[in-house]
Amino acid sequence: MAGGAFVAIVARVAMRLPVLAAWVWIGVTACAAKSDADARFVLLLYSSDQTLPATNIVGAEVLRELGGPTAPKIEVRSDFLDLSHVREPARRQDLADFLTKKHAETRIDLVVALGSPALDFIATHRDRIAPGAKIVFGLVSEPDLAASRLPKGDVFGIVSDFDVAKTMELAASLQPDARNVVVASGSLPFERQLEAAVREDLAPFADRYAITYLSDLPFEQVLDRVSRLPKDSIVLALSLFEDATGRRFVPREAAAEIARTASAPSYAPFDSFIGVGVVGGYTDTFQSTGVALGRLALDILSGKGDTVADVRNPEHAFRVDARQMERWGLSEANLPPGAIVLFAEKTVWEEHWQVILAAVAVIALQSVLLAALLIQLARRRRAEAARKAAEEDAETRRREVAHISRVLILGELSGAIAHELNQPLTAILANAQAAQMMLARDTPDIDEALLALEDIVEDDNRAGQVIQRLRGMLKNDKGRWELVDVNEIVRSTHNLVRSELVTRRIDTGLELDTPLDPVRGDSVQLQQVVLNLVVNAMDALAARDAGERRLVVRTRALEPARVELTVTDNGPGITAALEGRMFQPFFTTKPQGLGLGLSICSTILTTHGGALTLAGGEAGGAVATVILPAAEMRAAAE
Amino acid sequence: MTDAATIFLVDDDEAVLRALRRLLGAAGYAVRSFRSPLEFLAEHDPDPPGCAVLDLSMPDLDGLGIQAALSAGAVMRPVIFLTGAGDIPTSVRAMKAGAVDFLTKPVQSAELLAAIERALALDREARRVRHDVAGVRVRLESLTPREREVMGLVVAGRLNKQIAHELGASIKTIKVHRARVMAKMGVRTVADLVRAAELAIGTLPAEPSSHGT
Repeated sequence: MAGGAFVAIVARVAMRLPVLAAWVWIGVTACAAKSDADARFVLLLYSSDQTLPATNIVGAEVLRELGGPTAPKIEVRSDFLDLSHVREPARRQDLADFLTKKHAETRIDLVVALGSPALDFIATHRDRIAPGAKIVFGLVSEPDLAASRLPKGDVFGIVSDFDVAKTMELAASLQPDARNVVVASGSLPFERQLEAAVREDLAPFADRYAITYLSDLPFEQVLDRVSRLPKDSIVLALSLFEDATGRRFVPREAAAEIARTASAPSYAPFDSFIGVGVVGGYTDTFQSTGVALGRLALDILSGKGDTVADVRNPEHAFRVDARQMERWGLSEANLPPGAIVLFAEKTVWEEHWQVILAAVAVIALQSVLLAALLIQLARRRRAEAARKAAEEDAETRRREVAHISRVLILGELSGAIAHELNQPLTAILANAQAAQMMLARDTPDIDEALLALEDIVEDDNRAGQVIQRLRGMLKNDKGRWELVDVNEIVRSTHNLVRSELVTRRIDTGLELDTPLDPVRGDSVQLQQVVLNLVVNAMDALAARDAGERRLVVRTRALEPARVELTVTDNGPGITAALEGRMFQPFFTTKPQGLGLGLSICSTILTTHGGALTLAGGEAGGAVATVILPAAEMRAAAE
Repeated sequence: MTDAATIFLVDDDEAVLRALRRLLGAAGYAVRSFRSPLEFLAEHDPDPPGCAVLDLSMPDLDGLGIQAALSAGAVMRPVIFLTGAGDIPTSVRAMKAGAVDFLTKPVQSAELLAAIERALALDREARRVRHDVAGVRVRLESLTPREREVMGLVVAGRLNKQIAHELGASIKTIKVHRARVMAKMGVRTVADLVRAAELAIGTLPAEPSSHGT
């Protein structure tokens, strides 16, 4: 059964060691004598070329096991014999000659043959290629093994068997109503032998199923036939290396093509076919075969050939492709017990598509709703932004007007302000010139000169403060919100207008309540309010005689947590005609007035959470009352 | 720099007051400083020679008010004004009221000291005149009523013969009166007598005018 290894792939993997042990006893002892050298050499022979997944997977696992950490130092030589293309005995002789020369320098301890062609080849040519080496084989089916002419005693291996009958059982249980079975296989001699074996295996099913074998057809016709099957048919895909016309295939790809084209579910007894389109089969994995083979090789190398236990591969089972089950509408309930469902992780959608669809629908609905809400929100935000921009615009304008008003009122007070600057400058000049005189004397009066200099420093600071206050009032920026002492505002304002009050012969009193809770706000704006109220009172007092003009600024803490500031004058007071109009913008009683003072003050106080009222005084005159929330209360309210 | 001269400083600004006091002290003057005009007026001693340096704008009473108050009293104290803002109407008023000078703050020491020297010179002159007037008054009071009549007519430029005719006395008698007047008044010429009379009239305008001409 040359070439049988290509199909003797999965299914039952049995360690035949109990049987083989007896054969090999002599060889083991003979080889043990030669195995003293440090490095052991293993020749790995593949029946195929490098393109066959089945042997590549097994070979890779063997290499991994041989290279493992517990292994002795082992060097492996690999040869892909491609024996399906080297059939003439003379050519095989040539190949053997070549390998003999290739490995002439190497003393090979063990040959691992993958597939029965390689096993046959090395069994025939071992004396030349690897004299004295033991042989381990894998991927060889039981019938192939039985047909081979192996020397007894030093050949060990794992016999693979594929089980078409078990695979047919799987198909029958998944498709209880099926009555047709189509078997697709290749036309190579070993494939025809395989087919013959399959016919035997399927004999028990012959009375229930109409079984058709397609091994005599070209591949196109095979595809054509499977594509026109009734749905309750079963396709069994076997090895297809070569079709009836001699065209070559990679069996797995051929099986994939058949499974894709077929109008009924396909099955295969080989692990490598599962995943490319067939529903499933009764298989082992090449991986586990490779691992078992590698361990067997290690045991033989270390001289345990006679004690190797019979190992059953645990991964031998019914295996199905969940995607294909779904494709054909096959129920998992019909699977034989212990069946392994592969590729199930990809079937979340397939299993739960209704739920997913429902969820998607709900999400889509929600998305639409969300989108609608978002659009609405965006519109509202735009409107909000526009409103905010407008408010900011208005705020900017308010600020500008307040600034202009400040500048104007300071302009009116420029004489007084100049006086406030002039006083320290006068003192500075006088002190400086006095110091000059003191120091210019024959006996300089240094102590007094030092005092003069000290005063100069103080006076200079005083002038600096005036300028700072002015700069604060004159600049037009957003200001800073901070904790503000209203008493300090009153004092600072009084300093600014003191000389104006003197010039206008106004008797001024400050009655400041201490301690006073701070308020939160813009100190420049609050000073503007006080300044405005004081200037208003000063203007009102012009109507009275010089000796009688009186102005009082009072502060007082109110419960709960408010600060009151009053500016009282004994001027003509508020006439009924003025009442209610005083806060109107551009209403003024003054010839040079802009009429914005009180309305600006009112606006400023509103932004500070406070209020401004104007009323007649008890003894005539007018009282302007400012109420501001103390900082703590505001903080709590925010 | 007069030894006895006192400068009266009035400014409501403590710093300015201290600095000016220091400056004038360094310049060698005796200085008395006041923060309030009312305080100054209450404590003002008109006797010592000197001048006043007043800030023009102060609470209670401004510089012009002080000036008026000073003028109303018996003694004219020369006044120098200091002002922050030199506004023209105020300065004109101050000068008309007899201010020696009107200086703008901040004031240069040379300027201030020059003004003070001018004020002190005026003060000295006034005091000298006042001193002369006082002498003339004493002499005048030593004259008999008849001698005062004769003196008035002499000063008015009458001749002895006219005086005799006016008073109904002899020329000889008038000559005796006239010689006594010249002796009592301590003058040797009619011109001196006229100046003395002018002094007396300047400070005591009521008396001569009561006689008419």
